[in-house]
Amino acid sequence: MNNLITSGELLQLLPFITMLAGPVLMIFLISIRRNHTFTWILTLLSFALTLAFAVYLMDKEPYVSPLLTIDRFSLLYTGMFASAGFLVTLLAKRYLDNLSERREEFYLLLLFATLGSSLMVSSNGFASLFLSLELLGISLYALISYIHRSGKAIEAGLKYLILAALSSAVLIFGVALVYYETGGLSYSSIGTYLSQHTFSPLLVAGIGMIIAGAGFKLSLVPFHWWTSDVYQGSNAPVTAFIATVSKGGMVGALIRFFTMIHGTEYQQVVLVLTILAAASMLIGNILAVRQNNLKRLLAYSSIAHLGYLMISLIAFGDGGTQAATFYLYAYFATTLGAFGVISILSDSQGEAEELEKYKGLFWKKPVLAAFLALIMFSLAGIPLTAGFAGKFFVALSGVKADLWLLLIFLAVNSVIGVYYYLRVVVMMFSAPKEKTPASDNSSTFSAGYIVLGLLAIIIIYLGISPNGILSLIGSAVILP
Amino acid sequence: MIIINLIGILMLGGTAAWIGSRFHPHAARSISLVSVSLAFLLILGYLANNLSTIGVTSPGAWLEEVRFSWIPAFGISVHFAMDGLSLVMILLTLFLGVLSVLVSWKEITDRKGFYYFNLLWILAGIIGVFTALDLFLFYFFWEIMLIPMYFLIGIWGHEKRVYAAYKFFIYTQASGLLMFLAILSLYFIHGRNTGIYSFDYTDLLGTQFDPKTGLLLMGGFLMAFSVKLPVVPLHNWLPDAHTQAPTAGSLILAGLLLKTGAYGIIRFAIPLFPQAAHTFAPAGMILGAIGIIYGAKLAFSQTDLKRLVAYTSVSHMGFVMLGVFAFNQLAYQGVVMQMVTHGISTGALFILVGFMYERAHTRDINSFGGLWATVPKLASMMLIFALASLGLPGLGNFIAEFLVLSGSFQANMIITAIASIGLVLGTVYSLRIFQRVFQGPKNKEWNFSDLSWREVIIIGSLVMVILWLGLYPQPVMDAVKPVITAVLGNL
Repeated sequence: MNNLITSGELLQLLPFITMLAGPVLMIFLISIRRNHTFTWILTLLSFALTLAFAVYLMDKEPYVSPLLTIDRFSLLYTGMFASAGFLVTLLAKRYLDNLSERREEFYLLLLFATLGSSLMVSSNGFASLFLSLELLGISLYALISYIHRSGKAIEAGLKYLILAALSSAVLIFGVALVYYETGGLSYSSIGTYLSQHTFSPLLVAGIGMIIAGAGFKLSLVPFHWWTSDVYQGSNAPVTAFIATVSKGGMVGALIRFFTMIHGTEYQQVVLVLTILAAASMLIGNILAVRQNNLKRLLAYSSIAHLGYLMISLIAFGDGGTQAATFYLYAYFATTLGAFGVISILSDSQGEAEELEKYKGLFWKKPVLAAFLALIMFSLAGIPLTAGFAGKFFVALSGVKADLWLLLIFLAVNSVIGVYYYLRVVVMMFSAPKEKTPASDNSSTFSAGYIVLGLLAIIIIYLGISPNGILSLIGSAVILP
Repeated sequence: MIIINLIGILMLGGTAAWIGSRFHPHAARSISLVSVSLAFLLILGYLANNLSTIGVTSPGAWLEEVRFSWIPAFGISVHFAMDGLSLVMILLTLFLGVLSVLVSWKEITDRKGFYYFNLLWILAGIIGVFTALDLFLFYFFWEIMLIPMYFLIGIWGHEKRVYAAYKFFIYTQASGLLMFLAILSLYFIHGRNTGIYSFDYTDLLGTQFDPKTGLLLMGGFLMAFSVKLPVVPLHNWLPDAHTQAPTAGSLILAGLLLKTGAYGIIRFAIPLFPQAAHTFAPAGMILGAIGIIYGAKLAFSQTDLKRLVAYTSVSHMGFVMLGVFAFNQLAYQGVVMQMVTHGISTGALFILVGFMYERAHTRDINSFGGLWATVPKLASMMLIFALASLGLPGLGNFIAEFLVLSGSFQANMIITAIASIGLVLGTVYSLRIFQRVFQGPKNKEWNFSDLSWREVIIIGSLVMVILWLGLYPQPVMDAVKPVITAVLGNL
């Protein structure tokens, strides 16, 4: 095999090279002269270019190497991550403006983390998966504690560091066991082995540990303990990033892994996934009900949403992968929107995370409140929103695969979900306690409003006319 | 096209009202009135043009139909169609719609723009429900009418509005989701049987099930419709929602939203699952009879006027349940009449109670008494609708309940006999409202003004309609006859 990369292959790697070139350029610039705005623009540019290249490469030849497979599926996810990174960058600027020094490295970490996620989806074996997972993880440790006004962000970062390191260890141990049994690290070799042999206990343990490691990243119950503290401790843009790009990477990686090994044909795997999904839906929703902190509420609700998404992963062949990807789109848009609202309402005194702060918001800032209401309706799965379409496709795949137990869970949990999402809406519509003078700092933060406007259009568009995205997702096949 | 025009006018009108209220405080209500009236005139014009064809269409044919593809990958299309039943329901919707705007004219004083936006969108959602023929689209509208209603109760309602709004939403949402799952499995069962994956009603009709599956799936549909209707064990949300909603909200809830449940049973639950419907029929009739008596009994013991009227709805809707599962022409004619006349008469009662609340700021029946002398116009209007509610011949409700009972008598004598006790109880509670409020000693000196011109117009129009339906119900019956023949023919 030729070890030199040809120019054609370079072209195929362009989205990833862009995300790598951005930080390198930044390091140079920082060593010459720090300029926040310029770095910010450079970051936005990197993300935009990544997206553009991903779109451009969609119709080109896929790139397949022993470590990476860059097919339409991975490009689709890369584009999704780059867009999310773009929006997070827009939201984050105001936070960094408040820092007195070392603002620029934040963007560098953001790009690295996005690169990590994108590579996870493109990995076709555990070697590259683990490397990209660590690239994402290590960037996240720093990102979480990067903007710290109080000890909370540090605490959150530390918590994440310890637990993520542990989960990585579990994952790598699982990989080792699987390697011991199958003698291969690439998904395809594992798949071939599985199709010819029965499950040995070691293999079951290995795959179980891999699922546990993945479950941590996805914050599935019972690996969810870090979620609420980390969501609460980090700043809204970073939380948005963790909730979307970091989880999305793992979803993509799991989809590829299961496709290659035909994972859902094995009873044991399905059983484990079913338990994880059911527990996540139920526990996530129940814990969310009594939260008075919007960030914690969203943390638990994200656990539940990943549980919903798992249904479509279990319903794999029955349109499940497409449903999962669509659900992820909807989840990205709503989650980014929710944290976008939080970050717009936050000021130098602290994050707007207490629900009490949202009381009467509709009469003070109608646009913002209407948008947050839209987000809540989308999370609750009400028609006209992306969340409804997502839930519809997930349920459709579930019915097709006859997963009735999970579907009943979905229905029951949706009702619990409606209760606490409506609580937020009710809070915004109730009369404010005292007449506070309308704060005017929000009007100056136009970048945030641009983000929200974009997301509102996406949420409604996905809800009313999912055709375009569906055919895009449908065409994004995973190459062996 | 007329269906899309109607929905479009209401949605645009609502949005315009919201935007308009930013420029002038009274713009919202004027814009709303104009757009609802426009829609009403449009459907009246349609009626006038097609008067000759409506009653004589062949069974199962549509008067109007639009269909275009929406999400072709899953066989979802935008498919609206209107037959006699839909037409009658649309007429009722828009008539009560105009009144609901007029009722709110003075009652709503704050956040008008958003109020009228919600009001018009509910109406649009309801028309969507009455005309959607794609099950996905139907579910879509089923949910769409919830949210604005939730806001209407939760923001402009009375003292316990938030609780009532929650309860309303969660009941309807939970039952709706069961229907949703039933729709999805219907979709797959039909797809596996025939290879055609479609959410379209006309495709799904005649799908074959094994009896158990059919019963389960019909159960999913019936849950959603029974909560809306409401059927007795599932009625718990209704008294709270009706009592706490603003007047226009109660009017729409009682007059229209409950009818979507009845409509759903006639249009979807029974034709899609004829076998299961037959199995379930005795249980359905018993539930209906229980509802009639239980609702009437509870209505009698209420002290809150609005709550009282709310419970009468439970009782009246029991007749719908009773008639629907009797499976004969007579009962079905009665059911449709009941849907229309109950909308008019209970709507009117809610409006009248609303008028009293605006004046007295209380709904406590014990604080009234001897008001006839103070407000003779209001009192006499109340008398008319109390009599309508108890089923006095000459007023629409009589026709409806008489038809339902004589139809269901053929199907099941014993249950019908029990159900007809409800008529006696109805007399008791209806007369009790009138007697306690307008006759007897004065419990308190009220200083009321009688009905204003606006109020007289609102109530007067309702009186005329209920009289017309009582004296000459034939046009309604003619309009729905082909529909009923088609539904019964499928059984």
